Amino acid sequence: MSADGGAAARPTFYEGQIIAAADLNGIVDNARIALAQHERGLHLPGIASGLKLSGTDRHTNSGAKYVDVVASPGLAVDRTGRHLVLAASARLSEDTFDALSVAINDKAAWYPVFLIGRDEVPSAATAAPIACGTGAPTRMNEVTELTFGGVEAVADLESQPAIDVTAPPGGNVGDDPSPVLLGFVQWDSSIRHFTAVALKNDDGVGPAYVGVRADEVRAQSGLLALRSPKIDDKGNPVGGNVVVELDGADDGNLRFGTENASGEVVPVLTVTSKGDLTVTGKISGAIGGGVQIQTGQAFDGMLLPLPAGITDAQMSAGNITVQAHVSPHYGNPALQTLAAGNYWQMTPLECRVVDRRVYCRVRWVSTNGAGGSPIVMPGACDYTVMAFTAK
Amino acid sequence: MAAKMDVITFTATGHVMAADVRQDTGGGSPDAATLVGTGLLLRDPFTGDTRITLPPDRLSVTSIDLREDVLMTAQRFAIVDGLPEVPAGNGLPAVALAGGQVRVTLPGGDLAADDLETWVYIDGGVQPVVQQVGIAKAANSGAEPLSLTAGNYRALVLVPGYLMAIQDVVAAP
Repeated sequence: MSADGGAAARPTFYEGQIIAAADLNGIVDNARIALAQHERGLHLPGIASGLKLSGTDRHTNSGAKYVDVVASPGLAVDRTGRHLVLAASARLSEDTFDALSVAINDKAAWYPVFLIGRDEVPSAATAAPIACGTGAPTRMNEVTELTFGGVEAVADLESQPAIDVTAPPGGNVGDDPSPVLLGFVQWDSSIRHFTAVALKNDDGVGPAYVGVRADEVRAQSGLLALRSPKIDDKGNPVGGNVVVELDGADDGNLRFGTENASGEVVPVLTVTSKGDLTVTGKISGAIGGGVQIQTGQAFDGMLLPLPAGITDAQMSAGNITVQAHVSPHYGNPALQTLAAGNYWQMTPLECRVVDRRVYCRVRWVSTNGAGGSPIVMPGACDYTVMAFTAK
Repeated sequence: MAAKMDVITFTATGHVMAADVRQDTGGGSPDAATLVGTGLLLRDPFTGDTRITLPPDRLSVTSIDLREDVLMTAQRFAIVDGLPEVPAGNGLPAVALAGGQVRVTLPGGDLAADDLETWVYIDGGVQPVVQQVGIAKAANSGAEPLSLTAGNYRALVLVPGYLMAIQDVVAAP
């Protein structure tokens, strides 16, 4: 960093000036660095659009199943502020994966797929015209490529070196390219093909998407909304969004809800500026001075379930007092089917609860003495659990 | 929406150990530790004495459509492909501890239709022992090396296709 605090020297010009290459490069470099500083300082790195991995089932000549994996076009921003543009769909290369030697002897292992960017001086054959006398290229290729890591590589994403605030996109001189995670693939070394593709690995680690660093977000229309798509357990959108709205109308409201088929927000929770709370569902948890109730059936040997939102930790801390009532649960057992007109009769031997644990044993007798009758076995109880919250 | 129930299964085999119904399912599905605490008690139905305490790290909780017979007689079921089934095998598998081995034997001279992965949970020693025992296709039993101090133990035997079984077993040198 320079003695003046790192101030950048911006090219300026005057009439009649002979412009050197350094002047023009300064214009380009200043713009690139300013954009990278904006991306690093005001945003969080990740995928901005597209870049989805998808697989197509294939079979080898010997019948082994594999997948062709393709990354869709899109844009990402790495942690150095470099823009990574994949202009067209790109197939993941088995040769590249094989050459990296990251595979381990486990077909179920998930290997991260990364997008990286780097500058590359074009070869003479493909370069733009060479400047007279200097032999220097007049273009720099900003290359984006798909690559892979070992199964532990995603853990390294959080421990990369700090980036100098004045560094250009790409980071400090000599730094390795900063990878952006797109997803994961599985690999079969015996056929040298990918066998599966997924957004997340078994630990739930998946791609990051671009974000914003901000202490304040200000709406101009009077309505500020946050939207996130509803997804399934694999992270795929299932249609519609969940929405939080700050609405300045009617003296101000906070709303949470989901979009209906028309895209309108159907609020399930609303708070007015007067503090009035409206919910369309249940309120659970340790509400001061309140009672939460859980009812149902429970089997011998287990603990009675607590009301929703009530935890063991709250009980241990003395914030919750629990009372429970149990009685034998009567119903049809999965015992031998009896001849028509006969049935199993249940007699409770024991039905109690100690420290929330169920002790329930029953005796089954068939009315015709068949089916190994009588049978003594664990049983189920009906329960009511009441959790009283301290004020 | 169909009413749901939680079934607590032995993770490795899917045998149902207990079941419950919660009318208020807010907060999502509980984990095994929430429903069994330090362990699920498997008791002697006649005396009520605890024979085996299964720790939560061997158990899973699965939500299925409510079935009265599963609730009433949970330990007669196993979860297969996400659905509760009464195992088709007749009789109960047996376990023996002898000669530095744990041996699991199918009942009635049954022969395994395919390679079977069975599990034995042995309680009563200094600490519980969990042992996987394979039974090869067309075999009636399988064994694995296991050294236990001579004495009395209680064993939970879990064989796919058969009801779970708890038996007292003596470890012979």
